[in-house]
Amino acid sequence: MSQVLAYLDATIDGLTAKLEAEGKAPNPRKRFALAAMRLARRLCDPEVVTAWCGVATPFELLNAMGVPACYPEFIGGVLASAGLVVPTLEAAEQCGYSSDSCGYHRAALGVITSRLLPPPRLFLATSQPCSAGMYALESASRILGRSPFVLHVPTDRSEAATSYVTRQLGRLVLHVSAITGRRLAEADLAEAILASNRTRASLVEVFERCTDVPSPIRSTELKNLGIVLPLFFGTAEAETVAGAWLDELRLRAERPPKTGERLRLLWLQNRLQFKSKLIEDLETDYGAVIVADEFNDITWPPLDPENPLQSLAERILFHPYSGTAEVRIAHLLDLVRRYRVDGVINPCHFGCKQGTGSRGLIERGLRRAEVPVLNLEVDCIDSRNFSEGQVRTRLQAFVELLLQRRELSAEVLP
Amino acid sequence: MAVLYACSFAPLALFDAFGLTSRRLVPSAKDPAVAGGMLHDNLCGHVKGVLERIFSWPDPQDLFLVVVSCDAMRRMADALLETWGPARVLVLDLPVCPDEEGMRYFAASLIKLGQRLTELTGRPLHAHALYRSLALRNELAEHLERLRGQVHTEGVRTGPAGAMNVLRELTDLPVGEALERIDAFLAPPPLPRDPNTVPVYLFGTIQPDPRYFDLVVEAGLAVTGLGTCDAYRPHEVAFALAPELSTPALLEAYASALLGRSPCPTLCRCERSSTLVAHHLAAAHACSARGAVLLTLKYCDPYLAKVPELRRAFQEANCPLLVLEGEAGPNLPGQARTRLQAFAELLTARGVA
Amino acid sequence: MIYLGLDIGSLTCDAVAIDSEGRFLAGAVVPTGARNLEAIARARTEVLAALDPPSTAQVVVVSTGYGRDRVADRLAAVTEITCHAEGIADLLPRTTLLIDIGGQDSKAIRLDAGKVLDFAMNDKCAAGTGRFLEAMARALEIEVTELQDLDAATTSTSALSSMCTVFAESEVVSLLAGGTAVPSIVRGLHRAIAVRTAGLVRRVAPSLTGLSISMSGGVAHNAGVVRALSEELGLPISVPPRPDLVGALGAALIARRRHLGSTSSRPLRT
Repeated sequence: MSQVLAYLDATIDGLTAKLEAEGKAPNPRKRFALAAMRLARRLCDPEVVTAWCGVATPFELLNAMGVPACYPEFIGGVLASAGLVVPTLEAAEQCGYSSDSCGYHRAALGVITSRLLPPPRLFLATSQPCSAGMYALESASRILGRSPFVLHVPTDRSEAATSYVTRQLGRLVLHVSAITGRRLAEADLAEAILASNRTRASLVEVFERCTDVPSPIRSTELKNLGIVLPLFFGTAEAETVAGAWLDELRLRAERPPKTGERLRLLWLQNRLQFKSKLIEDLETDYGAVIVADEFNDITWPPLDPENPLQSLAERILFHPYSGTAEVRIAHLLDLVRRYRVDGVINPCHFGCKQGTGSRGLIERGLRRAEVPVLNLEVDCIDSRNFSEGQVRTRLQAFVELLLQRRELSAEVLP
Repeated sequence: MAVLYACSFAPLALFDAFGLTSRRLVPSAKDPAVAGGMLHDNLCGHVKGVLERIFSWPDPQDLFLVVVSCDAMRRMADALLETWGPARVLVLDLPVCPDEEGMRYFAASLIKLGQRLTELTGRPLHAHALYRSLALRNELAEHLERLRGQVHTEGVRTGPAGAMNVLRELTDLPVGEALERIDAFLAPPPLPRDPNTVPVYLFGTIQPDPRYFDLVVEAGLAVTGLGTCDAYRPHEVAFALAPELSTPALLEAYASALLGRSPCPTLCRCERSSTLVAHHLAAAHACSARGAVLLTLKYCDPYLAKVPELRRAFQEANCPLLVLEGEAGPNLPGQARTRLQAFAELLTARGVA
Repeated sequence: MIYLGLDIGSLTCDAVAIDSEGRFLAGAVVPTGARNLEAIARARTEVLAALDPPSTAQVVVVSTGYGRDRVADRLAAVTEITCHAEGIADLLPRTTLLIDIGGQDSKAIRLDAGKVLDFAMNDKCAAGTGRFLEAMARALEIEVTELQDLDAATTSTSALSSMCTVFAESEVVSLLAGGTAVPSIVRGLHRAIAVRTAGLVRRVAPSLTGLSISMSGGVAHNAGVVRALSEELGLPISVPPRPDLVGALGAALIARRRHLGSTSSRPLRT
């Protein structure tokens, strides 16, 4: 654990110092990173009661109850970006967790089996976005002798499904109270909902601005934003980060930075979490910019403070990723249209049956709309499986193809 | 018009009540290259194998019921919707937690399914028809209990006359004929188990290559207890029925019975220790097994997550456990044969101690 | 009576002959090649020819290995798991865990007095086996037999991340091009095998406490792998003099026991 703490503390100190030095500048990326690192640090504190939850869990509820929480993929992602994930994968594999499973979940199980971090008290598993994540949380809870809470999010989107999920959210709150001794006060919940809505409003404008041509952002700047920020929904931290992005983009609109943008790309699902210069090189060498990420999008209306649990249930149920492939493809085509995307990159994360399992369907759905797509067989977490040369070749070939489609020179920029 | 299904949670009595034929589609044993391309190669052999059959299915009138229980099944639903279209595909969400909330939701889903079947068949669902179908299925479950007893005595034999074959055939027969089939099988008195074989409990997933079962027996293992997904689970119902119940009440009871069956790893229970693990340990004990064989499938996430826990539990119970991982398509590698024979040798030597 | 154990693997056919007292008489290792029937015949001929003095005694055969069903006159075909346990119990009686790394598969066997308690096999992937080392030695332009000396020549271990034999080879080539010293790469390879094998071991022995570990198979000739595995598991590992013949020896011992009847005792070792 000391290596992880050293990494987190050093990163937190470094980011804090830089933010202080840079004074009033929005610095959204650093603020985002700092929030994530601080959460990770809280999760390492053995005195704190923490929760590991499925990705679909509405974190507004846990934040309103003051319970630091994350999804296990967050742990895997942080460890991968710190270059510390391989021992956790090995630990899980040594305990018999197959290397055919998703690396995000395997890393989390390895953290539990090797006691790398203080174990969470609470396990709130969700059947969306994937059942594999749910089974991993169930396994993790059993290893620690705890009973998980399970939230079933059906694929059915009827009113009956909404009531079902709403009722379950009510029970989830009771379960958290029973374990932590904390109540969910109405006032706290109301404030969290309003804060979440304010964050949402900022993000709507942020993502709208990102549809500009050329893109006001560089390929790596919004990496993980739409996935990680929900962990802070309902808190001032989320508002700060979203607000900082809005301020930054307004500034950039006044003084647009020079950009060599020649191609606009949409990246699906998750980015590679371990360090790699591939994406930056694509931008530098070819002017190919990732202008949009599938999860950097607001797909729900403002939450209803009069009916918080129901609106949270609807947010989960109607998320494009939680539905059928048809719904997901429709959302992707909408992103392609709004962002004027030239090509889509589908990083098929190894072991992901939910996302990667749709590979053929996504490809056909996009092809029918004449949108070029590159399927990239990668592992977003397990750097042992990363063959940089092969991935680079495929990305470059795709970019060259897209440039030729646009009748632009396919040569590397000077 | 028949209703095809691939999951043991399919509500067969509901189809019976509409006078619909139902058939289980077992995965094709051919190489599922097309299914892999349609979705992704790294999905379990069950989903790919079933899809492979769908592509060449001869009857355009038939429907398919997908029970959405895990990620791979969700993708199978998508592939089916694309191949056959929404008019022919029925989707049923399996609640992940078989508690009261889940049961009520499942019951409501069965009611909706009934309404959809009324639209498709033009026939209403009558409570008495449903009651009769459930009663017949109950009878089938009771017959299967007797078959279970016979299997305990003589082991599951291979070949057309063996219990495994009878169980596989049941999914293609109307209930009345299924009852007769079991009666015919149970008519001759049970034979004593060959003393040169070792009794084992066999559980786990359905395998695309059905010869896997024969391999187990050829290795000198006598399967005295069966807990595989293509054994009893598709037919386990068995609950107290009352004829005066309304359709919704009958469906609620049915939902409860379906979710109360022998545990499936796609279900997640809110409990400290695993019901599934305890169930299989108890089943191994109940069939006087000296060891257990678990059949899993490559890329099957629900089982991948459970295998370490199962290994630990069987080790602690001093019951040797062999875990085999089958694959899509024709896959009877000599490796499985070697493992099964080595396991038989291990168990024989233990017995001689 | 001569008791003959034939271990017919996909890479080599090994034969061991023992006498009625269970004493080792001779052993032979023949490459299997494309036609295993010929290789089986050659292995038999060679081992019988190596008997000193030559013998015309009747031969009782038990076969094992991948091709065990191809020996027409066998008394029995027994899996290599059971045979390895039998063989190692004869050579190193205190063994309670045997790790066998062969040409293209590896096994971990937990045993008690020669009886198999549990086993795990990896024969779906050649990573971490003899083939892996052959491919790496080729990439390093050295002989497989040089690997252990190179391992001993340094304490620095390169980190190798690829699990696949083919990609590990590319990784080795890149490390060489980057100037990494060969001994350090060799240790990295040995560590990679050790980590992979340790996973297999833990499937049969979640706790290693109190275990007495031995190793068999051709790869056990490589003291570097043995060292790396011992370090990974935190326990010493014993290797018998002819680790590649353990399976065939076990088969021969089983032939003797079955022929003499199950009441016959395990041969005494002086």
